[in-house]
Amino acid sequence: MRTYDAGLLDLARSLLGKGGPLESSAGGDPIAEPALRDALARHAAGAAGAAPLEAKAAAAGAVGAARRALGRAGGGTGSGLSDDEVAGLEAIVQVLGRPAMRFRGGRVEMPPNALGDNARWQVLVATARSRINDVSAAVGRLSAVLDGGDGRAALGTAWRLGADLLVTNRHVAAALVADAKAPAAEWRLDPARKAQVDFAFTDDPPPPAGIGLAALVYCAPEQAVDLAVLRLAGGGAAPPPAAPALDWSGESLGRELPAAGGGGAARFQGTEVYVVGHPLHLRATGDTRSVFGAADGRKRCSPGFVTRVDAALPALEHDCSTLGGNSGSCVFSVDGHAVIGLHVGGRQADAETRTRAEANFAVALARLGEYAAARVLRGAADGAGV
Amino acid sequence: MDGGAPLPERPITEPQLRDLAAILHRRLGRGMILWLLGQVLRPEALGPAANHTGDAAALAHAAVEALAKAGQVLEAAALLRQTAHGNSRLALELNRVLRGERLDGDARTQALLNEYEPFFNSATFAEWFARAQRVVCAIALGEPENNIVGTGFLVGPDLVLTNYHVLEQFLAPEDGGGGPVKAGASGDQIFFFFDYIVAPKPRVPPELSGRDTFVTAVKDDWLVHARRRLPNDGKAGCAATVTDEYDYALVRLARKVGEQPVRRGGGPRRGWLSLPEKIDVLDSVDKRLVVLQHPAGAEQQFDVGAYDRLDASQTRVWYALSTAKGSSGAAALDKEGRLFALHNAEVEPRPELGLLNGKGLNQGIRIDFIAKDLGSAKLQGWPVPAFQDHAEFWSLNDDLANPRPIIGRSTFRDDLLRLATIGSPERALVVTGRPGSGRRFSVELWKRVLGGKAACMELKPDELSRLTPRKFLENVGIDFGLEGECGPIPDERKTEDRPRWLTMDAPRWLAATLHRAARRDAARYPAWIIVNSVVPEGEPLSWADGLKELFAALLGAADAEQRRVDIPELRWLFLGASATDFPLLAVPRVEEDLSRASDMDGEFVKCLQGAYRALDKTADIADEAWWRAASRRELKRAPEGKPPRAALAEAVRELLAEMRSGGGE
Repeated sequence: MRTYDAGLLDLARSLLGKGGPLESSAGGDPIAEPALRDALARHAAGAAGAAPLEAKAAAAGAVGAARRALGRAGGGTGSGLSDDEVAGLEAIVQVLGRPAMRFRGGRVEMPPNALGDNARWQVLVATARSRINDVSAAVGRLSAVLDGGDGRAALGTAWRLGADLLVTNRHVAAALVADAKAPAAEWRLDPARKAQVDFAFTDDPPPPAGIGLAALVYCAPEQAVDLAVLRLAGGGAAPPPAAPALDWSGESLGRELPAAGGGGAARFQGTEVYVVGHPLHLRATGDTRSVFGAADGRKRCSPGFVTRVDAALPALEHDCSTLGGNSGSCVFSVDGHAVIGLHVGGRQADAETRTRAEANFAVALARLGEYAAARVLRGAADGAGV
Repeated sequence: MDGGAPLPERPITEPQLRDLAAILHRRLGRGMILWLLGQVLRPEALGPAANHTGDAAALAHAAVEALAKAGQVLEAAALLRQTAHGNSRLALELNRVLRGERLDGDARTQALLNEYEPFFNSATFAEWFARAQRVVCAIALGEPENNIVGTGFLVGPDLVLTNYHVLEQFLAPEDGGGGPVKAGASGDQIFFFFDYIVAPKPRVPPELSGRDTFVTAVKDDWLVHARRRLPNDGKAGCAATVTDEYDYALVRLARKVGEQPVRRGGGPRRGWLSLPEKIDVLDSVDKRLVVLQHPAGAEQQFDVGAYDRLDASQTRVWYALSTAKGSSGAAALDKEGRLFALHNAEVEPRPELGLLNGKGLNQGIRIDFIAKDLGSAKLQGWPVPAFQDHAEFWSLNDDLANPRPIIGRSTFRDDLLRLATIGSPERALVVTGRPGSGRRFSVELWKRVLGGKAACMELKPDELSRLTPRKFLENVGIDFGLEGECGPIPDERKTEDRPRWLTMDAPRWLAATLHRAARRDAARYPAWIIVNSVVPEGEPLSWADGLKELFAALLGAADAEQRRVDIPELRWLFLGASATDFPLLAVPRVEEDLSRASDMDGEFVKCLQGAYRALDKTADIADEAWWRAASRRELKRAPEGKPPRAALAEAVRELLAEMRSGGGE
């Protein structure tokens, strides 16, 4: 398996090669350095709130670090990248094609520029904005209500299922149960820990109060299926948003292509997807800040590709930009705007251990097969109950 | 390729269904909604939709419900796109809804409509836009790209024009770059996706069986001619002098898709665009252009913008409209549907260029330069003659497993098309004949030829006998989709006013209503009223009081004071035993008597030819004389009393079934 750094190098190299005025999707000229620096500086100024000169300096620094990494690594594996180089490459990847787009006025925003893969996402937003808005409305921020009821502590993301249910990760739900060390089947919500979901926690003005939780109705016991289902409390001011459709087809993830010329290993061709969730700097580091700027837990739409499907586990990997608060996010297919996965975790560095996962990964609906979670999700979606 | 777009399997949301119902109601009217249902659903699947006789809005909702229940919403949408593209507002709204956008009447929708309005109001728009959409394709490359890389369009039956740089990976590098451009890879790894109008995106490489519908280039010698791209094209440092760097490639396809009908059941062929030897760039400043494209490999899009200027080399035209990576090779057309440029690049933004109408500049290669360059290359078969469509439907449906073959009736079809133009001197078509001669079949044939395009109303014998003139007028409003737009029908105030009401007031009201409607939605007019008076032998045909007089006035008959009302937006199809059954005194009309002998053998061969091509065969069936003889044999062995056309249609069905199972190969 490729390392995270090697994948990052490949993606950055590919995106940097998608420049020039000619409008074929293939090949192209390198993206001009001034345009790249300008985009990075705008990103630093806009998303991270840097002053103009500081933003220009940050952009120059990111480009320099990335060029060093690309020049040294050549076509190699990219082992031994420094933190600065990773941060520079990640900033370039986000600015050139893996944006985390905000929602304003109830609508997902356009990518910030047309560089790299952003042209692709600009067309996606232009042609399917309403669909994205509709399905994204079903995704909300899950938060704990702090003592006194005024404060909120973000826990992760959850999305609607069936008539009155929510899907999130088991490791997110763990923060809400009385005894997280007990077997998952025995988990119950801790009445002392109040929590709620906010479906309208976006860049728009403060929404009405969120919806509380009534019960934990299912928690997958298998290590490989990090999934939990919660029931919403009734009696809210407004009905919860409609649940998105679920896509169980293997086709929704991608397909294996035979090796060119009939030799070698098959290659995976992943589908276009977008992750909708609530990224948050739980522990902000220099590199996460450079990528996400002010990741304040508000709703974002992060497009990208499925990059791998695990042969042994019910999991997919993707290259969309995500952060800690994205746990429990919904992975939607671009083709049908239906749910194909439940985002679990990612490649962002742990601030304390400085370790990082190899890729962003999610529970893949199409790969759930005989797991009980598949029956639960299908039953809930069909109205048959959990 | 089977000519029909693959239908995507994806959920249709409730809001989308509601919007679709609103579109059907607003753009089609009851007559065309019933036509659509008849084409897509079996009678037993109609459900409550079959019972809505009055309220078109309720019918539209019931229709969408029935379509959704039968899983045929996308099938219906595809049929509308194929047949009703002349109705550009319908096309625009349909595409938006299928892409998941809401028809919420917001400012953006209005801005979009305002921007496109000059195109929609163009007199020839309806004619060319549908064809232009059919000839534009997404182009994908196999290994190592495995992706959609650009756009192209047909310029001959099997010739696609695109940019050199779209195919550059598959072209052979030449030492020094001075020699002719050559193919550097196999053509069967270049894929062309036509009719890619809605998501999902085709997979590349496509799968031979499954959802993807495509055609490839011929395996060898696929590159007919090409010219290199210009270094720095679109950039500030681009050369001002161009030798022949026109950045185009002409590719030969493995099949003559331009000659094949778009639908399995025959009818209009896909066609191709002609390259003009001259474009008017001096008088074109601010001229409106449309670019049909597949940006970022997305389903086909179009944007409307304005021509701005020539570049320094005078070989590129600059225009302000939206394109993106993947739009290279797109067709830039003017308001009359004439090719203007081959889109190839963005003009790199520079402060001195600014924006035009809020949009950046893009550029295309002047199509007249490409036309002249191809002309001077002395290519075999070039120039390609302009596309002329003489194709006819061979079946009433597109179902190859259960076709409804059409034997002959060329005269009727030609007459329909001739009368379907606003300027036609005749406004009525009268079809008479003996029982079994095919009079009632004419209604089906009308629906096949004009259904989905023209507003229509069908009247059956029982309705002729019971509809009051006022009720008839009310139904015209519902069936033509004019609810909410026509003013109140004038009242008959006194008994003695009735003749005047029938001959002047009511016709004037309908004339004004149709005139307004046609100005708003020209593609649906002339509208048709089909009067089916075919009753079983021996049964009398009766007319409701005053209806015949009203029809006579609507047909242009003069009243006692020699006053007449002219309604150029209305056409009539009368079916019956004799022309004397109808109020046609002094009405210019076309008559067809189906009792007269016709070349039945030739009609059989023609239908069989259409069926053969529907199986994706481009050649003609061999030995016409043999098939004519076969026709005569079929007629001889037909049971007594069976109409000859019905017997031959049955023979075509059997032969097609054999051909599909391999027996005809």
